[in-house]
Amino acid sequence: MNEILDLLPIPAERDLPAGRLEARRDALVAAIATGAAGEPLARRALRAARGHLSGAWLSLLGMLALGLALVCSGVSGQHRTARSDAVAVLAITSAAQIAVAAAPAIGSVQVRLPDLHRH
Amino acid sequence: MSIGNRRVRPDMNEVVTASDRELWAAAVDGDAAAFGALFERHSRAVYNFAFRSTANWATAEDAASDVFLTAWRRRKEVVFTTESGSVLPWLLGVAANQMRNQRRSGRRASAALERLNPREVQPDHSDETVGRIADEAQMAGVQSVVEQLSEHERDVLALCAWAGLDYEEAAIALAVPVGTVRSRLSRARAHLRELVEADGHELRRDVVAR
Repeated sequence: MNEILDLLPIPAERDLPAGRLEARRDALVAAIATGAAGEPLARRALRAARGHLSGAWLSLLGMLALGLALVCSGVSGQHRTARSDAVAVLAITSAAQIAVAAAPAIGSVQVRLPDLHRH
Repeated sequence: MSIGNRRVRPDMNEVVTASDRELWAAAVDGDAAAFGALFERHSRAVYNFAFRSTANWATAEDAASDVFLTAWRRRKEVVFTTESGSVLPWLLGVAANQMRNQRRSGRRASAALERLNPREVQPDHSDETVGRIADEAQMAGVQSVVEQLSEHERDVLALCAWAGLDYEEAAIALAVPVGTVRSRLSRARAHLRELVEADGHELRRDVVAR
């Protein structure tokens, strides 16, 4: 085996990131305790343990919301048309960002379960 | 959770000393906490096994959870035949099947995933980020070589050379005779040597440097 590793070295083993082992274990135990293992919902819950809505996404969404609020409050009535256009653009952008951030398949690969042969 | 004469605390924060065989028997009877203890014991090996196939730590984490969900559903199929009584070979067999299926379906989705580049979309802010990104780059280089092997050769390579299973354990994982494991590994070793030598030492240097 050493010969193979000498030919083609691979990275050293790593632990799961801090806190993830416990989070994953608890999610797994909760899923199987409720009899939901194997259901798509259980898989989504396990993926959620990794935290798909990351800080970066939440920050981005926060900035968008702030921008929207500033536009709504800072523009005078004379610029009503411009304000409406800006609000519409920001609203569409925010909706798209939220949809992307909340989509369960983004950022992870859907793993199809195989039919195992005998063991 | 009660195993034999021993009692394992249900909070699972205590080190579980029960054997795989005992924990698995409890899991077969529906004990989720016992299965959680097995997850704690073997998830690292499954996680690293999945990483070597995907070259992506985040994907490997999801894959490891999926392996254990599959294992739970198929827990009654496990037969302990090795002397060690470890369930790890069987778990890695489940993982190998999943990785194989993922490779097949992943080819179709790879272009889309490449565009999304989850590493940029969802950065990991831990201290290990730099090391993990370097790992992924190195493993992607290794994968570019290993992908030229046959599926059977890749499986024995991953199980024996990378995960450290012996021939008997790899045979359990792949559900093939021990002799088949030996011959596949021998072919994989020879094939790999040919590939590395054919591409020159630059290939290896490139992989190491990533």
